[in-house]
Amino acid sequence: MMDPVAAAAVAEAHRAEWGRVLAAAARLTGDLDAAEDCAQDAYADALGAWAEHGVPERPGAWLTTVARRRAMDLIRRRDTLRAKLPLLAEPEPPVTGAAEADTGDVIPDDRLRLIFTCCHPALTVDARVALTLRLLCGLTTAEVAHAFLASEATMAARITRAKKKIAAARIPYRVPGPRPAARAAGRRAGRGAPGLHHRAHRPRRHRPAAP
Amino acid sequence: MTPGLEDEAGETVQYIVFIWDDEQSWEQAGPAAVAATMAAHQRFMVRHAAALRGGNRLHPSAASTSIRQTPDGGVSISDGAFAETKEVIGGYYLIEAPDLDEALRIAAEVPAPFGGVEVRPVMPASQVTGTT
Repeated sequence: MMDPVAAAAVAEAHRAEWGRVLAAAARLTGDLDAAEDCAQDAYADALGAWAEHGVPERPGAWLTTVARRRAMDLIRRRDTLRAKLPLLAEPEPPVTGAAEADTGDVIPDDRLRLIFTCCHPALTVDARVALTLRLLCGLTTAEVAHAFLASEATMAARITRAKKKIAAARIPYRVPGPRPAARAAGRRAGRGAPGLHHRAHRPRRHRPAAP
Repeated sequence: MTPGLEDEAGETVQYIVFIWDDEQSWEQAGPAAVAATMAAHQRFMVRHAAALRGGNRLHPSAASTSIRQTPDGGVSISDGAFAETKEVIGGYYLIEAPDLDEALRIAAEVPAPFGGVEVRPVMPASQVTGTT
């Protein structure tokens, strides 16, 4: 039996926090489909936990923490699967606050990164809008399809295609630099791809003890 | 698990950059224009040596031979490029980059005065058997 107070709180949190929860999970999984699963799991968990223990003071933080934990579990499983490598001693990254700790970004909210991924110029405009509505605003595929006057199957295919391109072409998950970066040596400055947002040059970060 | 969004993973992807050219424009261009373009390619290769994994200029598509497999299990052979288009692939580079933004930044500098380039991710061998 569903607790009406908890259900209402989960519904409200879905409306208000979906993009944030998903973006936090995406930061860890590096995979949009997996991140969606993690976010959905967090909301499913909330239904039970909030009915039992009451609605937490900050539902968004609660959901983000659970989604991140799911993402960490998933990463560990993935690494175990992927790496039939000798076991390396690797400290477990902390779940809460992991995303904030390893970033030098000025904007801490992961949603902005996800917006830039969804709105990358390498995607068609239709795909950008559909992805943003689906992933950041939490609309269902049916609702997005309705907004586009398209069939749900067409919209599902469009969203799937865009997600596949993001993964295959490695469209980055990051906030680009403030303006097109001049080339390091100053040669051919400004000859970047038209319409592309370039990041400022900065050293690549490396995860410590990457598996 | 497919790659993607892995900002901090330190992995790279290979991209093939197809140079699509209008061959007629090439034929009409004088030797000076051709030489200038080739020199631009040399400069491009020096500038991006760290990312380049390969590349070649191709003979004109008139030298191409296309083979299609027929439903009956045979093949049909025809003269010329595979698709009848104004632009044909005139050359390619293979580059390695951490993500699409970097790949596009490099590819945007490929000299292609008579056409443009297409950037396409190369599927890693580990994924070849997958469905993506």
